[in-house]
Amino acid sequence: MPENPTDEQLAVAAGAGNREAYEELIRRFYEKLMRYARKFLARYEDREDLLQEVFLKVYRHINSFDPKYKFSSWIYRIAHNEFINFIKKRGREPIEFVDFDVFFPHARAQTDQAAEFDGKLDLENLNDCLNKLPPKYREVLVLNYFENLSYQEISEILRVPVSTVGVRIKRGKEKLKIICREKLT
Amino acid sequence: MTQEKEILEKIEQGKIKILPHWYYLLKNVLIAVGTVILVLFVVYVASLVVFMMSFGNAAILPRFGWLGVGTVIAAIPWWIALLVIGFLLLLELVVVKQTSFGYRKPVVYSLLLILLFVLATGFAVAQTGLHHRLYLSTAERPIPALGHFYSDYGQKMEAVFVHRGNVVDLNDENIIVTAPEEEKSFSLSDNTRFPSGRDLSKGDPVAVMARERNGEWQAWAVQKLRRLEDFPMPMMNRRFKKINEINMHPGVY
Repeated sequence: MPENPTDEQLAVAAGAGNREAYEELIRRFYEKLMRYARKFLARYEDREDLLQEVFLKVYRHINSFDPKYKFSSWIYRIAHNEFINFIKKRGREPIEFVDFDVFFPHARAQTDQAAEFDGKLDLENLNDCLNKLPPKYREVLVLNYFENLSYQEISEILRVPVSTVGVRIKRGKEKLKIICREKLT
Repeated sequence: MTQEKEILEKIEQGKIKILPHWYYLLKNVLIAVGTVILVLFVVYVASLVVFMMSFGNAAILPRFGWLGVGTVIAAIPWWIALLVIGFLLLLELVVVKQTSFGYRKPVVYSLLLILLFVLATGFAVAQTGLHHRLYLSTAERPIPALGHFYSDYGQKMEAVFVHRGNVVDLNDENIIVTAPEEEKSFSLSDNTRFPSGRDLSKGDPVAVMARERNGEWQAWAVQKLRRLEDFPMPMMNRRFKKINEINMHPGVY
C-alpha cells in the first residue's frame, strides 16, 4: 500500500481483506457522512444507527466498487439510498415514485459554485428552513452547499442528469427563500 | 464506544462479510442474459405489430382513412400494446439503473433511442417472413403460448373484405365494381365513406372496403384510385406480390 493511498486504493485493499484499509476509509468518511445525515435527516432520530448501517453495507458490497470511478461518489450514493429508504419507512415526507425532472432536458446549469444567502439568517434558522424543504430539493442543497460537491459529483451520486441537479438547486433555493422569508416576517 | 469502533467490532466478529467478486460477476451475467431475452421479446412483439399492420387487408385499410386505421388498430389485441409499453419501460429501467451512462442524459433521449431501435429491428424481423410462417403453421395447430393468436387475427382481417377494380355502375344504392377475377355489387348506405370524395364515374379505378351481411356485401368505404396498380400504395405492390405468391388471401386480389 502506498504511503498516502487514495480512497480508491483503500477500497480495493479493503475488498481484498485489508481491515486497516477499511478502518482508514471509515476515518475519512464518517464525519462527512454524519454531517450529511445531520443536515438531510435533521428531523429524524436514529441517525447514528442509520450511518452505522451505511458503513456496514459499504463493507459488505465493497467488491462491487469499480476503482475507475470516485469512491466518494459511490459511498455517498449508498448513503443517499439508505437515507431515502429511511424517510420512506418513516412516512413523514412524500417521496415521488416518478420524478419528471429527469425526463426532459433542461437549460444547462449556470454555475457550479455555492450561491450566497441573505446574511439576515443565522445557521439555526437556515437549518430550520432547510428541514421544511421536500427531500429532493433538500438533498441537492445539502450536497452542494454544505458538502461542497460539484453538480457533476451530485449527478453521479443521485444518478440524475447534471441539468436536473441544476434545476433542483435553483428550485430548492427559490422555495428556501420563500420559507425563510415567511420565518422572518 | 464510538460508532466507528462499533462498526469495526461487528466486522471483527464476522457479523458482516464481504460479498465475493464472483457474486457480482454472476449478477451481471444474469442481468445481461435477462436483458438479451427482454430485447428479443420486445423485438418479437414489435415485429408482430409491424406484421399485423401490413398483413393482408391490414396494409390496405389505412388507405381508407381513419376508418381503415381504426379497424386495423381495433383488431390488435389490447394486451399486445400493453406488453410493448411495459417492456419498453422495463428496458429503459435496465438502461438507467444498470449502465454508467443511462442516467446522464434526460430519460426522454434514451427512451427515444430504445423506441427507434425496437421499431427498426422489429421492422427488419417482420421482413424475414417469420410471422408469415407462424401464421401458416397455426392453420394446422396452435402455437404454444400464443394459441390461435395468429389465425384469430388473420380471420379478423379477412372478415374485412377489400375489392378493387373499375366502376361498372354506380347509383345511390349500389356500386358495381369489376376486376380481372370477378364482378361484385356492393350496397351503399348513409354510413358509407368516400375518403376521396363521391365524384365517381364509370370506369374509375376504385377500392371498396366491405363486409358481408346476410348474403349482401355492404360497403364501408369506397376509395378512388389514380390507377389500379397504385393500390394500396405504389411501394406496397412488391410486397403484395409476395403475399399472393404464398397464397395467403386468395380472391382478394
